[in-house]
Amino acid sequence: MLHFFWWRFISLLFSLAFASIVIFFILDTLPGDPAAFMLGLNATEETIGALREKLHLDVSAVRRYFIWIGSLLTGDFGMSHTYQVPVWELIKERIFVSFPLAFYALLLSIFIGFPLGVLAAQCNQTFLGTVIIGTNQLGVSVPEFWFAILLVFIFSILLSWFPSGGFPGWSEGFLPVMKSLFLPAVALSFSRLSVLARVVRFSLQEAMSQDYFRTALAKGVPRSRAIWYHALRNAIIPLISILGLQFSSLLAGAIVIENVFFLPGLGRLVFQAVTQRDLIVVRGVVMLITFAVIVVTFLVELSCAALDPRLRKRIC
Amino acid sequence: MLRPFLTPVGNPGFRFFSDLPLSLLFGGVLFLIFAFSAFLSLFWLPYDVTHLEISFRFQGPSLAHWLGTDHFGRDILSMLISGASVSLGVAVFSVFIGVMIGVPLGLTAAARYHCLPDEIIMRGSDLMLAFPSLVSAILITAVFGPSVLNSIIAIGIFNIPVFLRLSRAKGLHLWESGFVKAARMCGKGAFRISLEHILPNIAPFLIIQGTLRFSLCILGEATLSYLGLGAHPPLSSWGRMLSEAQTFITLAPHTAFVPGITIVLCVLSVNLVGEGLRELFDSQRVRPRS
Amino acid sequence: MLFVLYFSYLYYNFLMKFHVRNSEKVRCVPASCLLKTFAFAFLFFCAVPFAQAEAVRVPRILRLGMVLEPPHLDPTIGVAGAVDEIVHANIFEGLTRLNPAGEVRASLARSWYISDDGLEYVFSLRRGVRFHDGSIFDAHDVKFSLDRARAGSSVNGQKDLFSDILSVDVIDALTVRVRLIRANADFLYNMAWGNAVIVNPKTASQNAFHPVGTGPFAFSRWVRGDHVTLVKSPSYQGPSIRLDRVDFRFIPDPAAAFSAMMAGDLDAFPRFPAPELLPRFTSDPRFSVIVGTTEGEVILSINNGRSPFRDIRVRRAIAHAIDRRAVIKGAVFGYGVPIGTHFAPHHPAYVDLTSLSSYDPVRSGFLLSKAGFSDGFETTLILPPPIYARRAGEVIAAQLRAVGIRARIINMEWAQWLERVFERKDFDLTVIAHTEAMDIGIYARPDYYFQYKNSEFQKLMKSLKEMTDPSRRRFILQQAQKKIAVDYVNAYLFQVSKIGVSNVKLRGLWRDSPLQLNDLTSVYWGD
Repeated sequence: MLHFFWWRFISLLFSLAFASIVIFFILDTLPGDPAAFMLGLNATEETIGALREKLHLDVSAVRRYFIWIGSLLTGDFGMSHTYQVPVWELIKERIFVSFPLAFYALLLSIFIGFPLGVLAAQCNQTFLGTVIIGTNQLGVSVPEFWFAILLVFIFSILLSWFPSGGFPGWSEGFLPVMKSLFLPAVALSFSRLSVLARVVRFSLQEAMSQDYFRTALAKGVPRSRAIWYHALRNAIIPLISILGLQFSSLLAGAIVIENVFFLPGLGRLVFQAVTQRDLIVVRGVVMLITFAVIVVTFLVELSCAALDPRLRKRIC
Repeated sequence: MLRPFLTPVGNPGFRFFSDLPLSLLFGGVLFLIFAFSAFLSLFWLPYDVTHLEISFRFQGPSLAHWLGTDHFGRDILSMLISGASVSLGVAVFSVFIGVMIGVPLGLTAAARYHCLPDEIIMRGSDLMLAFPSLVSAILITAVFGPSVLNSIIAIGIFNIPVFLRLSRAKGLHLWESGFVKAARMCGKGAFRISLEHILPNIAPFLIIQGTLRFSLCILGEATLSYLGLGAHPPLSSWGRMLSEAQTFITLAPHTAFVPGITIVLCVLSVNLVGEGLRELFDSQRVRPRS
Repeated sequence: MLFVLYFSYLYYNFLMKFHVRNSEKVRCVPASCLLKTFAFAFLFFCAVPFAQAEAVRVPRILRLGMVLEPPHLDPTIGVAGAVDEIVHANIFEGLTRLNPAGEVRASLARSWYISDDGLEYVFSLRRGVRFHDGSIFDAHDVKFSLDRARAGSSVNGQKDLFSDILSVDVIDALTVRVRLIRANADFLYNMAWGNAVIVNPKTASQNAFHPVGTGPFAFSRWVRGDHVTLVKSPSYQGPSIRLDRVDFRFIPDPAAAFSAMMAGDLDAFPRFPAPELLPRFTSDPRFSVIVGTTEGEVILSINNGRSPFRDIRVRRAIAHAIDRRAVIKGAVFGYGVPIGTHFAPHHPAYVDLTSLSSYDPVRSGFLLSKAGFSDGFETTLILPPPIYARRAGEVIAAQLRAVGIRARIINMEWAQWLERVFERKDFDLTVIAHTEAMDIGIYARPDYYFQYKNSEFQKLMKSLKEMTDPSRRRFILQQAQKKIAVDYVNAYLFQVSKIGVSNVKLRGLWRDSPLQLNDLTSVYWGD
């Protein structure tokens, strides 16, 4: 086990180092001059030059990479070029929008997608089952942004039940926040709940064809009880790792939805920062997300290995 | 080796239409319509989509313009047809990238299970999965500029780990099986075994996964061009039509609804085909071979 | 969090009980139970956001919509117009200010005296003015601000405004003398710009994220990506301010801007980005629509330094190939004024020169064949992100194609556009709005991105700068307009209209936009 741990840990470090190199140098090739962006149309070349110097854009790329990594290791994400505030402050602000949104969307998709999947597996070959499967098919086929546009059109323009977007800030209280996050969360969760329902349905059906399920039935356990107590418990294990990964992808993957609802989340921060060539922000956020995913994968692998000795096989 | 899975030959109980899953039939027909219109757009369109007739803008559906006109007075049906070639083209090539790079790597990893090449390849694919895909796609198009080719690359790269993992997982399973062991006894090398025994047997899974990824790629292309990172005008693209129509949704709802419904139908048809194929392969496998 | 956990537990129990109870009777869950399950899940996640009653409007709050979020809030760094839209005249004040008609009025300077040769300005300052941090405003602040703006290391985006200043001297606490190198008729006007506002030496370095000025509103907070909040400043001594709080909300997407106005999330949108939706607002009694003028000229910039555009016949052919009415209709849905030169039509010195480049595809084709391009040619048209540019670009590309010029459209982001077009001058054609007021002078810069190098025009601009006599100035300006029109430097398209949408009860918003600002000092809620 210890050998496995160290091997994985070293490869984790390698992954992180490699990721940082990729992130830094891909971003370094971005065309577009941040200084020119900040100064705009009537700027003279003299001013642009002065600003470039101020932003340390005139140092070589390799040196800037080591400066960047060095400050990352001490927990300093640097200063945003465009906003003139520490990147960490920006990320902190945005996480309080993105995290609740991702959490909300995830909850919605679990609470709706999970029963749907169970029902579909139970009612296989019936009308209800077909309807659920059909809805799920629709769910994975609808472009997220279009669904979001429709939601805004119906619920905020026509019915004006919800704000069309924006984020009031946590200082305004819990209710306004929930209200403003509701439509985005629904838009985000629609396709995800369909995927979830599908996975639940498949793994349940798989479990229902297993021997232990048949044994349970043969022992006289009622069918639905067998499903809930026996099949589902086994089907739920792969779900958890899927959910874990979905959550981290939701954190920055909600770019499009955040754009439609103009929410100040992490995704839109990255998107804006890319267009404004605020590379230090992009690097910080992308690195943070990649770091989170890599570490989560590492932990998942470790716990799987702890549970299942077969996975601990030594490297040849 | 491919034949028993793909064609009903050798299975006397199979009648083509009645045994074909309904979803495959329905999705297939729908998809053929899209594929045909994409093909057609290369030669002929009902109206010229580069010709603007601003005084005819926002017309509702009529005999002359079946689906109405957009804010420049262009025929929406023609734009959809020509957008089909972009959407489907991007999707085809990005799946192709994923298969062509992912499958060989996955087979290699399976052949060298738990050795250094496997470790390196798997770490690499984990790393790719760790990057947030949409953010990276945006970065790629920002680096190389928005164009059709770059959206193919940006979308295609994220198909690589999917096919890699699939072919490795299924390949590993097969490496344990009797016929592969027999082949090894015969002195076949890892390369030949992968090519002659593993690949044909994982083909059905690859095909199903391919169709599913295909539909995701259509959505991905729509998303990128919605964000303004896809094909340039005068090429039309479904996502850009939606983003342009978004402000007109109260003014001329059909400009926003029609492209959206088109995307849904197209993606749905591909998904149905995937679902149908899965059913077909499952039913083939369950049936005893003659 | 605990609540959610507790709820999940309840939910699980509910499902369990339910299934155990029903399992013996039916194989499949009946529809009514399905409904119950759903109802329960929805109850929590949907009822909560629905639960809130309509919020009570506090009348003295104003929520303004803006398209772009400023990168920072210091108007003396860079030229981002969005900064000025928030802070200029609201947080910061200059020595002078403009009234809605674009005329120079007193601001921090109560009055001024100009020497006969126009080389010396003596400003006497307003008494008792305080910065928002409590410190007292005096002549030293003026000297600091102007010296900081014109220093060599300054990153002020409009250094040209200060280039004529020779020295700034403090005479006493409330008197400042500015000496100029040469007479400059625009000096007082220049001092009204957002780039020339007076800052506090103590807080100047923090203005980017916590601006401290002398204006009627003080900075309160900035939720990045969403809004900036200003509150009424208690220390302001000018005319009474009838708003307690102003929120500037950033909504880059025109569709979202529309829905935010329609849903009542915003009170006003002074520069509404989607002219096509105006009919929706004009027909709605809740809104009033104000169409005014801006200083933004939209032009099809032509790279004069690159063949085939070095040839005036080609440039002229392009100008005649463009149907401005169609462009205006297609790009801004009719909310624009055709221009024939780089000058604002509402300016008194404007000359209508649109006839010089009337829509005439036949002549355009003729000019092209005379220039040796009877089969037309291939070129590129680079478009920056604003929606007017994208739309105008598509219309223009179609019109150019009609005369044989096949322009390939390349859409670019701002940063990329600025680097490639503006800095490296690597482009053929591009569509762009020049939003600065009175910016005809850019044609005198030989290294400016469209690379018009004409010594005659440069001489005209030089004489204009030194000229203080209004009628002579007007004459020179007209000469300049004609010069760039007959040289067909660029294809001049239209003057952008300022389209403001606001709640019908809101009064006092500016109709026109002589500078890029939202002066809120006279805004109030009527009945």
